[in-house]
Amino acid sequence: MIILDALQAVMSVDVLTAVTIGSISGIIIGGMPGLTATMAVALLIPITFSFTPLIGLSLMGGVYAGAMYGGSIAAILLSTPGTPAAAATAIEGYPLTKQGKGGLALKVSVIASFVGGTFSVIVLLLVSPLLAQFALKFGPPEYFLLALMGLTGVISVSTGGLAKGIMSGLIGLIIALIGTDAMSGMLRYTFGQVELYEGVSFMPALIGMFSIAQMLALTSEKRIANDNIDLSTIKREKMPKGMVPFIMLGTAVGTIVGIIPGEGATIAAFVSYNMAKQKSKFKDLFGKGNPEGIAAAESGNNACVGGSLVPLLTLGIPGNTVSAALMGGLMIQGLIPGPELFTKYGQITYGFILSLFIANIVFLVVGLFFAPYFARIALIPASILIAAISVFAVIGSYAINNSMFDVGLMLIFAFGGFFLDKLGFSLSAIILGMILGPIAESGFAQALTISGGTYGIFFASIPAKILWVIIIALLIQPLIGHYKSKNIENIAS
Amino acid sequence: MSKKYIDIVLSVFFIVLAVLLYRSTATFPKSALFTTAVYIKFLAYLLAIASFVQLVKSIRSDAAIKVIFAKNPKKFFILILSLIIYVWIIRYVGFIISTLIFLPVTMRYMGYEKFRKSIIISASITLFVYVLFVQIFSIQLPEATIIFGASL
Repeated sequence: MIILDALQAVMSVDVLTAVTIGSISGIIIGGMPGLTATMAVALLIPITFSFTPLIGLSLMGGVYAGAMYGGSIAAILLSTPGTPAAAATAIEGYPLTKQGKGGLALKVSVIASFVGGTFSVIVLLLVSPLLAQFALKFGPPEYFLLALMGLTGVISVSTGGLAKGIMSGLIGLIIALIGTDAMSGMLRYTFGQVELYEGVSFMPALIGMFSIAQMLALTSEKRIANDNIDLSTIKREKMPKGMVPFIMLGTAVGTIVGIIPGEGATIAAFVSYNMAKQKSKFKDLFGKGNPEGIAAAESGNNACVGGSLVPLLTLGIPGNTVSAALMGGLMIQGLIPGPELFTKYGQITYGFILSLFIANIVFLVVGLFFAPYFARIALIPASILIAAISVFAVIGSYAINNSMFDVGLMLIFAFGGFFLDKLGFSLSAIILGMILGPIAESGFAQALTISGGTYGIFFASIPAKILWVIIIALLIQPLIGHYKSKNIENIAS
Repeated sequence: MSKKYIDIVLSVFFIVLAVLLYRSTATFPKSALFTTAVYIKFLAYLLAIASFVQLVKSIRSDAAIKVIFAKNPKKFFILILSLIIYVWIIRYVGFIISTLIFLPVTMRYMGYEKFRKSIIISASITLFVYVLFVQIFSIQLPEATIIFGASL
């Protein structure tokens, strides 16, 4: 019944318009190398503030789905992945374009993206209410462990090493300490700044680290993409045969990877791509223009969209930075992620999930008929992009609280984030630490109050034990990788 | 710049931060001593351990590895400077004037050489943001305190 109400709400002109605008904007932003889905969703939040929750969320969901697909267009036609998740697509897509088969690559990409995206939303629709029901049994110790698990997931995939990954997560958790202590009402680490009494708002941090820091990195580029392909020669082609197994493979991998905290669309795309390479009968064609690789990679990265929303909506744990930005959008509307989203706010939540189906249909239609035109977006000079995004970042961070203090914070996070990123620290872990900090702290403090200071409470329940197993597995994974690479180095030397 | 030495300095900085964090809990009120203070001590321990591991790793690492912060330092520092100036003047002259100055100047220094086009693009972006935020969504933008005299 609640789903029917949600469907009715989604079918309103306002929501359909928001999804369409969101999805097309997502394709545009995803098609611009240097601009990410996280940045797009973060910069949109101040605008969605004045919308009803469903319209705002549908707009952001549309951007997320559109951006995941949009990254493939420039990857295929210009060999410049619009998003990191489209890098695997470029390996097979650009050689096809050079062979005059750009139209075929675009067709495979959009259909694979659509199937992957749609399947993952079905999983989101079916799994989330069950998981949310299960989450009702969680108490403070489990919430502390959930926050720890979310953070461990991101730390385990950080590229600068495990120690720097852990330090990054801790930096986020420590920044989250600033403000008023919920247990005693005491002010902590505010240095007399009234604006810090309620803590450091994570939106300026998110905008700074994922918008301005990106623009600082772009100062090294004159033009982001190479325009050496005549886009007017791209012809429409039929979908090649034999793609279904690879699309199914990418869809399954992407959905599972999306649900695991920390593992994002880039990992999903590369894992799917590598598995497709092993499974293919035409292994020799990989790297020279094999559409099977595009089918697997694109279905993989789009399947992450629905998957990544499962832990966010049910447990309030964002698995990646885009869902962290979406969490900001939810909170600004007064919606706290967790089980209540499926009961008290069921119409909005189910409406949002259903709107993702529409977002997939929008990018399918746009992709089938207009994809080559979107590739031109990647040719916008970096100089214009840097200046324009900087303005949006400044205004976006101001508009959330009408505060110049937040703008200053945004700049501090931008410069600091850029510096730490260059040194191998994980910006994703910092931002997730900031978001998960209050959940972890209140879970930890309340659990100790309940147990009278006994730490056994963190190991007592079955969900707690399961969460510990996942946390340890996530931490062991990079250690095994490190040990293996050391062994290979030793053998080589 | 050698990555090894920056990593060593940062690791030491975070070890000091961990110690300060740990010590700060001594002044907490009784009601927070067995809850929040324990959590903060837990974070301090973890930060100290991770930073120490990183310190050892950095000392053992190769000093020849360099970190390139900016391939084009001139553009990089100009962008930082122009952002700081933009945020500073926006308080006084408001969104419209500051953005109309910031956009063409930044575009020029980032390498866009078509002056007339840059003015048209700047005016279009400023107008777009103003209409979108103020007219359509009724979201307040920074106002000129010099003209209106009001505090933000």
